[in-house]
Amino acid sequence: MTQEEVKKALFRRELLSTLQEVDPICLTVRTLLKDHGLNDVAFYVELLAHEFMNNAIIHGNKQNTDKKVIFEIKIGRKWILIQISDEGAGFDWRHKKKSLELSSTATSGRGLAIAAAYADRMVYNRIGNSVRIWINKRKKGGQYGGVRH
Amino acid sequence: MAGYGIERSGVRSLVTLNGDLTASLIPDLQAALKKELDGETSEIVFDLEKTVMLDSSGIGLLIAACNSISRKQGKIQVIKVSSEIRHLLQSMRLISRLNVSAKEE
Repeated sequence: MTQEEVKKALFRRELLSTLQEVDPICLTVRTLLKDHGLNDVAFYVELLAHEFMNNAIIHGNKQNTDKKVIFEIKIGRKWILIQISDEGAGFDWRHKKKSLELSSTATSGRGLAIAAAYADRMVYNRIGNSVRIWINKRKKGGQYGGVRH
Repeated sequence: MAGYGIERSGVRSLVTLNGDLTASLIPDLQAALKKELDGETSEIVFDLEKTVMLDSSGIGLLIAACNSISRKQGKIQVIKVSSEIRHLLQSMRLISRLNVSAKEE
């Protein structure tokens, strides 16, 4: 983000690459969204924040506490924008399977399925270590189902 | 308060979450569940009344418990979930597999 964009960010945090850092940030997000009257989408925004921060910590930075994750959230007129960046090598997001179809016995792999279900739009940077996610402020729980890239 | 409590009554284990079921809780809860499932337990109930957030790691733990209990011909229930968590599990097509019931049911 540019300096100007950083100044406008509603909430920005750097976190160490340990999963214990995620919950307090998401609780702050939950409160912020409810303070802005966004109760209808708060759960889905917080869920996406959890999923992508977990991914950044586990898959991006390999839980290396020398590496940081940056989390930012902005609330616009129509959209909520989350941006999460890690210091890892990235991944080949262009060829990552986006299918929602998982075996009901699968114990992992649902993170991207959740993103596909609840994010309105997702854009990765070229190497795949930073992602921006847009969520429509006015969507309600029953209206979700699909993401554009 | 700990993130969860486990009460055993005969072959039934009741796991009560005292808050969110997310990635940071999983290692500890997974170890505790393994002890239950390696023992006499053939019925496991997860009470999510106090749970606001369930992420994919939490879903994975519920499915792993379901897989383990199924191998013993046992059963699982996930009870008192919020409407948002119910919607999430519905979108993942896990309502019947996990025997999910909502807070008002």
